[in-house]
Amino acid sequence: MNLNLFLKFVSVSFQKQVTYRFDCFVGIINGFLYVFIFTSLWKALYSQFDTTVHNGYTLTAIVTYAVLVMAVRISFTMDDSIIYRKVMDGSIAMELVRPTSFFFMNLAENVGHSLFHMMARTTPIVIISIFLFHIAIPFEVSRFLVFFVSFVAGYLLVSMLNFIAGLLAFWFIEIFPFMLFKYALYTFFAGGIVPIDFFPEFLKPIVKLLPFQYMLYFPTTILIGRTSLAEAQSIIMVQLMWIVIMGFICALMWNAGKKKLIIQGG
Amino acid sequence: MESIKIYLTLFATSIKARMEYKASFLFYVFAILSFYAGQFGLLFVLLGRFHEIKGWTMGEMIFLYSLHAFAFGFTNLIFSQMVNFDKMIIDGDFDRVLVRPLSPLGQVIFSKFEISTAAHLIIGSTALYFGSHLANIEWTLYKTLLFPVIIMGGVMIAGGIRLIVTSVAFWTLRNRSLVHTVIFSSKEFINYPVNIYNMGMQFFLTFIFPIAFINFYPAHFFLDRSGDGLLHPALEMGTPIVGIIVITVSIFSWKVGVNHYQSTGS
Repeated sequence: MNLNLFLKFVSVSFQKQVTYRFDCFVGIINGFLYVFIFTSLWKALYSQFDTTVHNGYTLTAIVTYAVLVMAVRISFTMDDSIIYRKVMDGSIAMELVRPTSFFFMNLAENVGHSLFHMMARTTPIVIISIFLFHIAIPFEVSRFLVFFVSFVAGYLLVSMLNFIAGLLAFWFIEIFPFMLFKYALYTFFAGGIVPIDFFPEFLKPIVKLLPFQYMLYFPTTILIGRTSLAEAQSIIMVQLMWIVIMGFICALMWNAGKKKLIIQGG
Repeated sequence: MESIKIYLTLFATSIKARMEYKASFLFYVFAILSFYAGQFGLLFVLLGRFHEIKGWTMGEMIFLYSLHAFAFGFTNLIFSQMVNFDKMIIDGDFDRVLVRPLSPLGQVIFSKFEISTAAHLIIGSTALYFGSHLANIEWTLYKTLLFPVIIMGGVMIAGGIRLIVTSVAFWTLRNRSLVHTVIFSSKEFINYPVNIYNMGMQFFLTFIFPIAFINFYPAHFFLDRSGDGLLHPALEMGTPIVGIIVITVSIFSWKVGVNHYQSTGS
């Protein structure tokens, strides 16, 4: 699939989002609400102790983490029901006859969606948070570059996770329960609320074996300066490894799904 | 009398329709349970590390959860059609409701009962058992009798709020994102004791968007906690009164909305 076509799809998907202005406004409030709840929670927890550092995080560091992990998460917003709807209304058949790869079409659609949310939601939420909370981000250009690479890799992983979950629609009439299950795993194991450093020892080996922490936790810790740039390099290598593994699963499921496909009228 | 019979038939039909897909029903229950498992997981991680949250120990936190899960479970059972109500208006299905000689609100409520929310009640009961045990709650006769009253008050608050945001659809048509933020994201506020928030937010959650009455205030009464830290000690018994106020306001807003309703013509 050539780049021009990809960008065309990205821009169409972006413009589709622009029409829902009211939803976007509510989305900003919604995102900010989460930031407010979790920064309040950390402040309350830290205020109970004389020690100022817990599991390597000062209060400023944990508040920064809480704000930025939410910022990363909101930037990763995508519509995870696209594939499900296409299977249900039968329009998936159109995808089969197109000469373009369905995976990349889907990725382009996600990217357009996410770019909009990044501009319209992440940006105001981060700006408001900088004024309201005490946030510390180390200002190094090289760190921002490494973060960007890790952020993009994390994004690809989330997009693939949604692709895999969405393809389940080929086998199941209802996939909302899977989505809820995916959401629970993602929120917990990706460090979406509590950074992995606070997890009890017995959970850490499980977390290590799963791809989730490479979606939110590592990009965020690179940004806030908890991960050194040298470590960041090996983290990005592991991210790439997971992209290959999950990409392989995507391809496998897509091919199996095509064979299984039953169009429900429509 | 005649209308009660009709409502019962509607109720039975809605349950039967849902039970057509038994596998999907069980699947939903499992997914909701996994969702809660994720939330409890985070709670255990935090309490394992910090022991308590602003004076609330593990047992007390679990009890707080149980009140919330019960109230949300019953609300979701009864007011489930409210979540996608805007679709009813956009598709013109609401026109059909209006021409029948039965209360529109009654018909909307009885058109769908989300029985998979049995999962919330399973969680509520489990949390009630362990919470009472860990927090050493002394179940006097008075407390036992008041428990269902408090839950009912909580359902009136949560259900009333749902009805109010639903009524907004009579003016705006599409209001999905607003409904989702108000119903689901705001739930997150009372996953933690409300005293972790600043005074402004405590005031908001008590007098303007009174969800603190669903679990935080009544929990003081059941746990025999002193109400000194509250905005006012008498608030711990406020749930039923607040519930009646909210549900009255919501029915009023619904009626105003129905009178304002103009069909989309679809």
